[in-house]
Amino acid sequence: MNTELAIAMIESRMRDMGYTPLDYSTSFKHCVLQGKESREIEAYNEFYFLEHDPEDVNIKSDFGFYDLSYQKANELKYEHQGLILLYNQSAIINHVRFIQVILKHK
Amino acid sequence: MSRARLIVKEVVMKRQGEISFFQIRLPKNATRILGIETDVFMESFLEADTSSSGSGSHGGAGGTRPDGTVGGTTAEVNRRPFLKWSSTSNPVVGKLKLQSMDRNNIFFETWVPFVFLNASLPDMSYGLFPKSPYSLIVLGKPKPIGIQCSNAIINGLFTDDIGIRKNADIKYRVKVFVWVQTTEPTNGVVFDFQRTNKELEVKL
Repeated sequence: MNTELAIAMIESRMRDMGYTPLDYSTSFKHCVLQGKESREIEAYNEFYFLEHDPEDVNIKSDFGFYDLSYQKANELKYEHQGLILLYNQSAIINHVRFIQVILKHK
Repeated sequence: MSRARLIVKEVVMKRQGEISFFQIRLPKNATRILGIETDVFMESFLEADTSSSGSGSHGGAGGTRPDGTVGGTTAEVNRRPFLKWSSTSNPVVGKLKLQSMDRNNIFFETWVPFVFLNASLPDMSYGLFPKSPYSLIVLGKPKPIGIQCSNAIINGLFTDDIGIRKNADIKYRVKVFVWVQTTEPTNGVVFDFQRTNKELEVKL
C-alpha cells in the first residue's frame, strides 16, 4: 500500500457507500508505538486506511486483520473500522500511519 | 413478490487460529439479502472431554460399591461431551462476520457452533398435537437480515476459535447460506422465513 493507492481506494469505497467527497473529511494519523505497546482506537463511525506496510505490528478491527508475521491468515486488510487494536510486537519503537476518513453529519 | 435464491459458500479451516477471508458472489439480479444460515461439518476427530465429567451415571470414578470395592478403574468415556460445556468442550468453532460493500462496517456477526442443541429431537410431549409453546426445541432457520444490496460481493471473515481452545489443528468445513431476493417472479413460492411471525404461530 502507498499513499496514492490509499487515496484512490478511499474515493472508491466512499462512492460505493453513497458518499460524495463533500460528505467526509480525511486526516492523516501517525501512531508512534513504544516497544510492546498496545493501543485501542475507537473508530465506530470512521474508516482507517493503512498508508504503508508496517512490520512487527498486529492490527485487529471489526472486519480487518493485519500482521505480516502471522502465518495463518489468508489475507491482510488495509481498511479498518470499529474498535481498532494496535499492538507493537517489537521491543523497540514502531510507527503506523493511517489515513483517517471521518464522515460528516448530513 | 420476487423469488428468493440460496447462495452457498464453503470455507475450509485447517489450522489452529486460522483467519480466513472469503468472498460470496451474488447473482446480478440480487436486490436484497434476506437471511443468513450457517452449518459446520467437523472432519477432525474430537476426543471426549474427560475433565468435565462429573460424578453422575455418565462419569466420575464409579464410587464405592456395596461390597466395599471401588469401581470405575477403566478408562472413562464421557458420552455427553458437549452437554456439559467447559472451555474445551464448547461446541463453538469460530466467529463469522460478513460485510457488504454498500454499507459501513459489518452487517452480520455470529459465533458458529457445530452442535445445534434443541434442534434435532422431536418434541413428543404433546403427542400428535402441535408442539408445546414452552418447548425449547426449535428448528434452525435463517437469521433474517433484510438489507438491500446493489453489489454482487459479500466479504466474509471467519476466525477459528475451537483450535485455539483445544490447542490443536482441527479441520472442519463451514458453510454459509445466504438467502437473497432476486428480481425474478416468485410463481407463488414463499419460504417459511419470509412469512411474518404471526403467520407462523401455532394455533392451539
